[in-house]
Amino acid sequence: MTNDWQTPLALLVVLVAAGLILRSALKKRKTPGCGSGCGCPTDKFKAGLKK
Amino acid sequence: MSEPVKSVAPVRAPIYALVGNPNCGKSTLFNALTGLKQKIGNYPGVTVEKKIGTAYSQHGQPLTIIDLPGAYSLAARSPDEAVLRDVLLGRRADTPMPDRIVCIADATNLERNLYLVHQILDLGRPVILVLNMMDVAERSGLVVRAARMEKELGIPVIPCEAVNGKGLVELKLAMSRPDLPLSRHSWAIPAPIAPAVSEIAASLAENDQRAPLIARAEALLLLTDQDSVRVAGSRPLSARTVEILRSWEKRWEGQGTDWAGSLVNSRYEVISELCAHVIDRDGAKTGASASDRIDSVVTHPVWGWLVLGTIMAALFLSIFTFAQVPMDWIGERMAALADWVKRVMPAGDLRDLVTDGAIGGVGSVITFLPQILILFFFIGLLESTGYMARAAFIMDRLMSRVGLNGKSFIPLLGSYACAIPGIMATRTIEDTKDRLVTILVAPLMSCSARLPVYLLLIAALFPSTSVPIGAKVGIMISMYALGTLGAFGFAWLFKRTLLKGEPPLMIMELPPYRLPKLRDVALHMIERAWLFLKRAGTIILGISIILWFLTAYPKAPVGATGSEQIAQSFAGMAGHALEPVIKPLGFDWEIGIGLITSFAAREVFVSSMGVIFNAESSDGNTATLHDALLSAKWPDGHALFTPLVCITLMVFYVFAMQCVSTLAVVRRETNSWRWPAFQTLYMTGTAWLVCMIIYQTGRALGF
Repeated sequence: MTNDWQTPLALLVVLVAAGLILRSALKKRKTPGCGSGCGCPTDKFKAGLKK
Repeated sequence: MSEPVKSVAPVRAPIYALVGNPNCGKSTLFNALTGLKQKIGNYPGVTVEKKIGTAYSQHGQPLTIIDLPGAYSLAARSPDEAVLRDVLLGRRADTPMPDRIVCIADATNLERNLYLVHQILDLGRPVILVLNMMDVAERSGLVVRAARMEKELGIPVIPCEAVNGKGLVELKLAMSRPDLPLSRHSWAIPAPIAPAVSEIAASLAENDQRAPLIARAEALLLLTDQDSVRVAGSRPLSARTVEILRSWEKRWEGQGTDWAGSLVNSRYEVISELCAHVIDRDGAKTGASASDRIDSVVTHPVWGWLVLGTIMAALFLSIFTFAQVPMDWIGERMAALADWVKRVMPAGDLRDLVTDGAIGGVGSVITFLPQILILFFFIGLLESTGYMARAAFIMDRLMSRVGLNGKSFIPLLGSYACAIPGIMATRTIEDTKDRLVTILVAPLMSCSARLPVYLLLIAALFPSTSVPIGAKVGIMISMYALGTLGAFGFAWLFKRTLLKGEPPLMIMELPPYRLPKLRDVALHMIERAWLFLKRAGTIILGISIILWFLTAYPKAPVGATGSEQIAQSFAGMAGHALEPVIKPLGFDWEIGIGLITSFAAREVFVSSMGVIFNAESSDGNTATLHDALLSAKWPDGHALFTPLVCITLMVFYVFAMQCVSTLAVVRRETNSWRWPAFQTLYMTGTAWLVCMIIYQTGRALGF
């Protein structure tokens, strides 16, 4: 692998990391804090109960 | 005797609610039934929100189980108790009303536990009564006749030892029954009150659209609690119901009738009569129990503090003693991994991203995994033995002096692990102002995310192995004590200014001591270790990669050194912009970058230092982070991480609000952005001010 190839690949990794962090930040805004670790019912579970 | 009424089997999978007094073993039973790993502890108030799981009947049919917070009565006085009341009365839009109820009662204290059971029987739904802790009752010489109780109440009564799994099969069999008998329970409402109950219940059914049995139960609550707004919940009562209620209250006041007292007494009379039939106390031990004898020492005004201090010292001593070898091992493996990548990959951006960004950042954080495991081992031990409630008891003396509610101690104690569950645990506090004060000061308690920061800086502070371990333990305890005193100080200030209120009284049950369940402690440690590694592998990895980019771009001219590259990078620009603000604290722009990135989470400071100082090293080899910190210099050549700067930086992390997740939870719990904004300002402002005083005074004294 040469240095020329490494730069765009590294920048791609940075972009993916930034995207994932942004996505998780926006997702957390909907259900802040617990990070699904608290055992509270998920939307999927609640939908199942309604059925 | 008439044939008991049978309930109709619900068509869909039945929904069970687990209810009972605080610390009677609900969550232990919930975990045993569902196979989940809900947090449990031997102290009241561990569960503050409902938890939902699925168990399977003997025939493989799914059963939905809702674990509800503990309460002594349906007359809710705090947000966690309101969850229980609202779910049982079918008021929660997000939770279906349970079809059946499993009441868990502590067999060692049956009379008190049956008060809630008695109220629940009023709801007219199928109930299974679980008599938990039968082994403890037996050891204390009590004989509880479950069969007799079953006959008296007409509902299944299951003797159980939830921690040992005894009685679970019988419980599952009972829960699997398609038809459960409804209780034969009936009690004579005192004659002067009975017409009022009927009239209010009728009005609730007609004007407030309550189901008939719910209406009767709510009428009884309205008359017992005397706070119609609290009982009715968010939906206000109809004018007609309020009118009827007030007219009866006025009539009784004129007659001098204590209607609430007589209702409570009437219930207790029925319960006492039942207990007289089902409990044999002949063999009950008299005198002080083993728990009482231990309590005479651990809750003593002098010895109690000594015991608490010894436990804290043992905790930190263990962290420094036992964690060093695995920590060094992880650190060496990470350095070896980075060196291996450097050998197999040609020089370039991707290689730098992997070695300086990913391995440098994440590796520097996960070296602290052994310390995190030791911290949670101790916390798990203290929780499962019942010592936490004693610590709350002795701290209450101090906390009441600053105007803090004694109930605040459990949330504050929980905040030593993480402020988020600590803040959620404030739901057990009845008074809104006390709850808000506790939320505002909880993040000052040193959470586990600060531990890697403290340890890194203590390692930089005492690089030599010849420094006695006691000095390191002393610094660590001082940081924890500073956070705790800071929390108490601010609570005192807020209670006298923003959130004035009467000094509260604390009523807290001291649970009997139990031998710790090592399996539960181990599960708790594994869970926390997994969360720590998950954070390292997600948010910390992501931030480290982005930080690498910010330190690597824009590129410096060819031939520039590592530190020159960072200095003119995006991160360097941000650090330099911040430097005038933090220079009075002894921090340079590189530390400034760490302060900015650690707003995401405090331990990101460590990974940031890992990225920055790995990127700066120009010898081609990966140094351990604390060696890299020790060699860091100001442009004039003097050391950056002097002992004074290390102490100041630790103090900054004690006080500064550096956790966005905590802010999000505070916003949710206070329903406003005003309080998280205030919290950030007062905490970070205090951090700056205290650090400036420490650093400038230290400099003036020649340090």
